[in-house]
Amino acid sequence: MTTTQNETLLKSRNPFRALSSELIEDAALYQQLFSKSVIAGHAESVFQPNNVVVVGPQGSGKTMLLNLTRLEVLAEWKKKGERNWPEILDQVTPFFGISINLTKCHFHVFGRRSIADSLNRGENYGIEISAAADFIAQYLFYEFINAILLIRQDSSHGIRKWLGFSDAEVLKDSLLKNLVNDPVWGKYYTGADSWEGLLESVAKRLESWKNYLSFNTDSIPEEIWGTKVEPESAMNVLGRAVRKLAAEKDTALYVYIDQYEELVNLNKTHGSKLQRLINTLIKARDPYVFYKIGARSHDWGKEIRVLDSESIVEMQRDYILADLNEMFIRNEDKKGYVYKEFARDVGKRRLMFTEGIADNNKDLEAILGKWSPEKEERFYFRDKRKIRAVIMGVEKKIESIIINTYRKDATSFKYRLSSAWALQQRNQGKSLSEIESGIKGRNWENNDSWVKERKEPALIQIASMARARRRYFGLNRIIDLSGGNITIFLHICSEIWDFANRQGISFTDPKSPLDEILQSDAIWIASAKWRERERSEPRGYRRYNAINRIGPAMANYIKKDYALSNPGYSGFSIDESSMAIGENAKKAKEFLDDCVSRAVFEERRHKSKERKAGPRIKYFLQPILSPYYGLPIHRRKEPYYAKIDEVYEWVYGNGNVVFGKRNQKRKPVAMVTETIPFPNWE
Amino acid sequence: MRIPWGQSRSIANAFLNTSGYLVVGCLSFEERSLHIPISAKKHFNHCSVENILLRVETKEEVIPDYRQRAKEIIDENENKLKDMNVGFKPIPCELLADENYLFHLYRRIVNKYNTGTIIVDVSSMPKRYFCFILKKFMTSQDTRNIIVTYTQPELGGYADPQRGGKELSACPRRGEALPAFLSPVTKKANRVVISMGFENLNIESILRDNSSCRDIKIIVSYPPNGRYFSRQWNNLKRIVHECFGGSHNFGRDSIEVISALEVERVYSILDKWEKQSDGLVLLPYGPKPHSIAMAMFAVQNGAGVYYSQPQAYNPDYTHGVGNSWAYVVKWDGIKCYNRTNR
Repeated sequence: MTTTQNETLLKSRNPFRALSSELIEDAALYQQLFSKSVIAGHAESVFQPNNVVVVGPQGSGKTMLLNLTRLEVLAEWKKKGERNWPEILDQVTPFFGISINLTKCHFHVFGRRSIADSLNRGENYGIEISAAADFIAQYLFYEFINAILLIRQDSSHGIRKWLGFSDAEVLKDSLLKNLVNDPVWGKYYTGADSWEGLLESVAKRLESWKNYLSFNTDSIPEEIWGTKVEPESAMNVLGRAVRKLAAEKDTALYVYIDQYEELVNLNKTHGSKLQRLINTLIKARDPYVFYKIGARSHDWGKEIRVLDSESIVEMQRDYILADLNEMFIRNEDKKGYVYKEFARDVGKRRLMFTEGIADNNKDLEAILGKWSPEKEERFYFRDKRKIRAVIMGVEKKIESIIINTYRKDATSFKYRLSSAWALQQRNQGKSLSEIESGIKGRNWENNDSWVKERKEPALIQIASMARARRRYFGLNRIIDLSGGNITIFLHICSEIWDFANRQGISFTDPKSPLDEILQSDAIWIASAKWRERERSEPRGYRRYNAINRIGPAMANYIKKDYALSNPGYSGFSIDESSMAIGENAKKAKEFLDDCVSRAVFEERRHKSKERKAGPRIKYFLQPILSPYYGLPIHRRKEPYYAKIDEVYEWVYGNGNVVFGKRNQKRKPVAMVTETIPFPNWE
Repeated sequence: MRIPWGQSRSIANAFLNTSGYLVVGCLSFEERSLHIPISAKKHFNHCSVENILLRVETKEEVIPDYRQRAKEIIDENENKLKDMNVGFKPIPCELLADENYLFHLYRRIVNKYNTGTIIVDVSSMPKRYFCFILKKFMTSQDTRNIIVTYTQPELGGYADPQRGGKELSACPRRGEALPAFLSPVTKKANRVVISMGFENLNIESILRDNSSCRDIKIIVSYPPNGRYFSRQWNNLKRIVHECFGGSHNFGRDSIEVISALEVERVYSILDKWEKQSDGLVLLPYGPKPHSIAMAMFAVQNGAGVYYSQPQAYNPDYTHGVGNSWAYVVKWDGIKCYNRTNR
């Protein structure tokens, strides 16, 4: 399919659902939809001459970011006239970027069919790894040649200029000659007299490896076995060739390595050794070649040794770690929080491309509107006479005080917050008159910290007491629900798009923002689907079962916490040091790490509220799951302090999950004899 | 491509006569896995028949964990065969066997048994096993004759979650090429062919890995009842929705409806689609005869065959024993795809 056909197809369908991998295959499409906002903070290091490991949960945008290091993408960008060209690329040393997807090219299969066996050498992992080493070196050589062929095209003068490559050097015959005759290849390519011929020879060699692994042949040809290369040496040759082409710039060779973490999942016996082979390349710290690896949050760091040695790759020394989580998950101080702009930009680009929206005002906020707690509150208890139902857990006298205080200005918010506050005061032993003057003197619209922390749990309780499903709408709410994960953001927008379409409503041509109930129903579907997808993911059933036990237990706590004493109990916190002690603890930690990597849980480090206690890690369900389970989206106050063994039982046990503790000591309630008459203001 | 096929008994009568043969099957929790060994005992007592039955189980701890129940049913089935005096050699095998393991199993069979004529019963055999075994025997000079058998469950015999049953399988691994069916490294195919099944099993991971294949072709099987048809179409709708943004360029010529029992027709369609493209990537999620066709095609043409292997199989996957079919994929050393006359 041509780029034009592909563009046409994309325009006729849900603009939020294009696979990120589709965008990567199509450089022109990538250029249109790429958002520069993702290049912020640590992410800028991707374009510096360093080895970089980019980590983040599944769907956080690692691939989209790293794809920008590929020459094919940049060349296309330059050809199309540099619209939306990321400024950072003019500020960094240029780079000649090639890539390898370790599973697509079958690198992960090495070791699964024994080469040592075909040589009658019994079990010999050294032989398997040396074969894998040659394969990866040759594959990168193949990609290198393809990139050279690309920059030799007439239409590539723009990218040549950016690279600092002189046209004369690129077109020189000696470039090919020097490469082909370099001793690193063991004279294997000596006969190649054209770039196309060389490409074909390398391709044949790669297919020979594949044919052996695929049982099409029973041995490796001697001319290949006898000329195996070490990838560090091969890459150094290629890196020097790039440097030589650049007359005045220190252009480096960048290698983007994808699917590193899948090596151990798909190759139980040799996957770890294959990772060590990659680690060896990083450890080499070649001055001309830099590696860029993308990995899910906790999938990097499990195997950091290099081959044939206990030496390890060291952060800061051998590579830099860029954690997209730190950029995209909002911390309490909001410093460095760039995700909001990033999401808005991504959504806008998708719309502009598919709907041809040129009007800058017609962005997602104009279409989806804005959420506020007060707007949401109006959806519950349309009949004001029923809002009394939210005054829960207090004695009749306090109920009367609350009703009398607000009279016709009553809202379910005021009732719920004042009853919660009153309950808390009662638990502290305050008298009725103190409570009454407190309620009368309090302005719940003040949005002080006490109110701010409790608005969301209050809304959950109000919706529950109104026997209504909670309402979700507005761009700001959708950004919150996506929890710093761009894939989830697109998932939500695409469900809204589909839902609107099914109702015959155009997403982009409403007279006013899309109906809140429509948005809310679509968001519910998005939440349910995110939960369901675990069932078809690798190891997903365990995660699915666990969230189905933990989620409702958390929601139950929040709903029944009428005093709103623990608004932070939508998550739990564990002492970090306790996670390393004992088999159960390690198993539970492994499970939590897996959930974070797969965007099922979010994690954040925090200091304990207890003095002298060590650091802790807090975990919350991914916000997109909040609608399904009825949990707050915003994280405020302290989460529930759980023990690691408790968490182990939640995940691996069979009993009910009891979340949080409700055994706070209560001071006795003072008996009150005065009665307050019921008003009759109706 | 010509492939004689029909009811197992008829094919056996026509081809096996007095010669001895080896049956390689799978002893599973499905009742239909016993059909061929029992039939061979009943109807071909005059031949020298040896039965190798792979007992494929998983050691991996997965949820849902059907291992105990599956083991109990397999043990019962094993005892049934013994009670009927059906001689067989059970070989315990690991579900997630890698290429070394599969090759070792193949060599063990070849070294110990006469593999001149073999019957491969794929009824209950996982794809990573039967595709590998078929490829090795098809390309072996020593194996002159291969008949593949497939026994259906009884009518309506598949578990149906929509009707109170559990799903057929769960806990799929990330999709990857089946052992011995890697796609070319440098020549990129541009067309994916999906044989539709009832469940989608992480098929998105394969479509993501093959996103250079913009053209998708679908084979939907024509099944014995409408309920199976609707399950396939619902599955297709789910895939289109999740993977292709709700729509894709599925013209009339992108979907073929083929009998669930057909091998030859599927092979022909693949051949036609291959000639119109830069290469195919095959996804055998549908009925086993379609998977046999895909495996044959891949052996002949070097296409990649991708699958996301489930790690948990519902012990109630099927019930009962239906019709049994046999396909002569190689005879007198001539492979079916090299045969132009019946």
